[in-house]
Amino acid sequence: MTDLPALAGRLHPLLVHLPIGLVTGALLLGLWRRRRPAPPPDAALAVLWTAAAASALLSVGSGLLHARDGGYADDLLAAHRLGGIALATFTTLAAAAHALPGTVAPALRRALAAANLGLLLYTGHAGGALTHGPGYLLPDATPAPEAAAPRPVTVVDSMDLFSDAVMPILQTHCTGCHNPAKRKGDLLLTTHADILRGGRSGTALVAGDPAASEILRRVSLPPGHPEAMPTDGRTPLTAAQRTILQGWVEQGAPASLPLARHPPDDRLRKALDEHLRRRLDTQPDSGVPAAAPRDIEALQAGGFHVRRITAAGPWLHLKAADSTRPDLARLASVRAQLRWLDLPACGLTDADIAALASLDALVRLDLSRNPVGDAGVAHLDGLRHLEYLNLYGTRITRQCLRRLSALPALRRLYVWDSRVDSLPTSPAPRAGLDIVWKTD
Amino acid sequence: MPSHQPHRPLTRREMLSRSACGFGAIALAGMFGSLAACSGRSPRPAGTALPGGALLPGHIPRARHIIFLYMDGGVSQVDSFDPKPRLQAERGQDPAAKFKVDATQFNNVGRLLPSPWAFQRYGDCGLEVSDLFPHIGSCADDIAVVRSMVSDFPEHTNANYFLHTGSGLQGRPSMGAWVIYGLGTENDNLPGYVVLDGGLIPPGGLDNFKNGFLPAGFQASILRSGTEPLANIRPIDSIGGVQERKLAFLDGQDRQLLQSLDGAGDPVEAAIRNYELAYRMQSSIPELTAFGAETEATRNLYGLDSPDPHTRNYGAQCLLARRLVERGVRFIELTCPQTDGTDRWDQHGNLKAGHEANAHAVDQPIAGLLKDLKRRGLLDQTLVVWTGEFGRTPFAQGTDGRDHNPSAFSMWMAGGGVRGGIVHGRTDDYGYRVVENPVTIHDLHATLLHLLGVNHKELTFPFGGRDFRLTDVHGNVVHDILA
Repeated sequence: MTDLPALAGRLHPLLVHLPIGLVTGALLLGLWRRRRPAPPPDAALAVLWTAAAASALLSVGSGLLHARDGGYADDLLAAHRLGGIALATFTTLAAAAHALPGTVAPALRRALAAANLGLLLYTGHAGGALTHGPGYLLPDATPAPEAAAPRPVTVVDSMDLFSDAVMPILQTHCTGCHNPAKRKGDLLLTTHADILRGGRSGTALVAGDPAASEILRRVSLPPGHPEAMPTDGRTPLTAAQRTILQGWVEQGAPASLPLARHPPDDRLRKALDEHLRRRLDTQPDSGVPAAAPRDIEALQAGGFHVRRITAAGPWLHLKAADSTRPDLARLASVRAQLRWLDLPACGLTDADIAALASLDALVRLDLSRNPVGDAGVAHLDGLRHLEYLNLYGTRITRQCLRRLSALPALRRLYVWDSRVDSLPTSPAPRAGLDIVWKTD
Repeated sequence: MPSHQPHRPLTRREMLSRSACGFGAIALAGMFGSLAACSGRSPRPAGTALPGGALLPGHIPRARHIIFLYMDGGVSQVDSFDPKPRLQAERGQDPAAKFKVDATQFNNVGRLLPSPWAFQRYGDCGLEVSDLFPHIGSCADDIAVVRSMVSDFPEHTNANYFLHTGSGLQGRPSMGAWVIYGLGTENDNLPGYVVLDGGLIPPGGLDNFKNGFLPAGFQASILRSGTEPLANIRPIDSIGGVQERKLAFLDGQDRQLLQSLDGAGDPVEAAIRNYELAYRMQSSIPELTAFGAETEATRNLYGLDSPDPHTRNYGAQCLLARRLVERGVRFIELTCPQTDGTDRWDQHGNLKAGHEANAHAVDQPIAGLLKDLKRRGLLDQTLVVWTGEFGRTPFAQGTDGRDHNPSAFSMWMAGGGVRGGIVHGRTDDYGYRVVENPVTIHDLHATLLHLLGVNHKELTFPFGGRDFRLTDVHGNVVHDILA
């Protein structure tokens, strides 16, 4: 038997478009009537506002039912609900004002119209953010959980099955909905622990048993099946991607599985090859255009050796030319392409490092043998892809190590011959971060 | 010099006009001979495709520099990185009763000879290293040992050509030449491929370091150890501008000659670049060798305070190698020091004293190099390779030596893109043959190129009617040792 309230709730995404159109229509007609006034009572406006109010009330009702399905971020949902109720209230007031001419001053009617416009935009935006994710229309102020930049793996045998294959697939196809902000089906697929935790339908997978794993069943259903994932006409997984997920579950769904030590069988290897090729092929046009030749010439004139990291990709490696003080302000022109930057012994001070703060594509940064201290290093907080940071021979102290440990992608940090007198023991430096202080 | 350019006979007019150059041409020919070693700025501009169409690097490199520590003569694997307790248990027995013994170079097959050195476990990984290399042992967690190397040649000269050029025959391009041909150099003031001569040029001579059929600009520049690595590097003309005017005149002459050669002027182009580079090296080389800029602690780390002159010699080479890496030089090979009374690592007799003297010369400097590279953040982008051309027999030659053994030897790598603290491959209980995961010289070359961001199948040069590679038609990347 059909669950009528649930059905009404699922009509909400359809119904909401009625008040959007009707309110907009009423507002436009109201504007038009300012030039060509009709004698009161204005029947057309009254009809439009009444229809808008009725559809808004229907939308609120269905919306309240729809919210019971869950799977939405609480704060966004509260904003959308409040906006919808306010909109229904104000459209009803506007309808009343037009239906009873003479009781309401024209200035008040105009104020009601303006309030309805504002509420429509606010509620609509909150609803859009609920459906498509907070960053859909405008980049969100609080960035969505971002994966560390993928390691530069080029061959299957150097891959880690989970972090280099499974996670990138989930990030491409799944975490748009199954993330902490959206939590569709109360399922998070952003970390290994979350994946194992499962969601509203129970565990997402059973380690070692692909046949009993819900996530594999859902991604293998034909597109269009009501339970198929990804839903809503989004790109389904390729056969190779499904094979990778299946292979990972077969291996017990571990958080790390280096393939050099656990050679995959032929079927999985073929799938991984295809996955890898796809990733490498897309690398050159990963959305980052090649740097403009005139920018490169300007950098060369500004004291940099400029090289491409790979011949075909857009990524650049810049190195300060011998015994020159490079013009750091010019780096911003290649901020999207600049991955490796070598500035050893360039006489840079704390103030100079501010010019590096915006270079957030950086993966490797060498600032060794510069008179830079903790204040300078503080400018590096936003370098979320930074994996290698060389600060040997600088004036940094132990104080900044905790701050640097917070860089999400950092794996290797060099602090020998600085003013770091010991490594902090508590809290211990982050796992996966190798701090080279002394080597003997 | 082999050339891929077809030669056409001179016309009568050309013959006459060239004779007019007379002594100039003779002098130039002489300079090719003596100065060609100073290979210059990459003749192939970065970012242009190779003749085969490849654009390099094709993938993101894990290493930008290679330091190749060549152990001339062949270190004994069972005395260094491949412990064999069974040799101890069966000491003095007849090897032919245990396994099939191949003919060896001297075929003076003695009894099973256990290692005179004990092995200790080092590092978190527990890597077993003999007492020949206590310093290298202290770096165990950074190195990947391959115990399953094999070579095709049981004799030094061919084995050296094979290790250095991928072919046992004389005249092919060296791996360093291939590398800078494919990737160019990072520093225009120094050559991209440098050999640091510790005193022993290996059997096979300078052809181990040549460009072969690649353009002449890609061969190695050979620097001597110490503070005067190149003769005549300090300018004689003290009056400002005289040297520049002389060089400008020479350059003009060369370019005239180049035009008349009509496309066959590779040696002249290389000579022009050599002069340009040599001019810049007048300032870059003295700066490079200014060891005074190093702290005493650093110099001692490399063993520059050692009572052993050979340790000091090799330590200076290792320190120079680090300074070359800092300056962007891509491929650096170190040859062995000439120790007293021993014939490099080639101990056909007197194993104990010979290996001990050789090990004492290189052990502390190599460990110093690894530690210094690591604390400066350079090991991350520098691949250090330690290998001989083949191994030695587990049975004696005579009573106290070991003969050549190409069927198994040990090598190790550390740094850029290599997983530290692991052992790859296995030999039999005697260390005589590889029984698991054999790694050929072609595999080694393919792996080095892979770490530099180059698919070894794409690095080609047309010669003699086909596209040649460093790995010829062989080679598989050894993925198991990659990080």
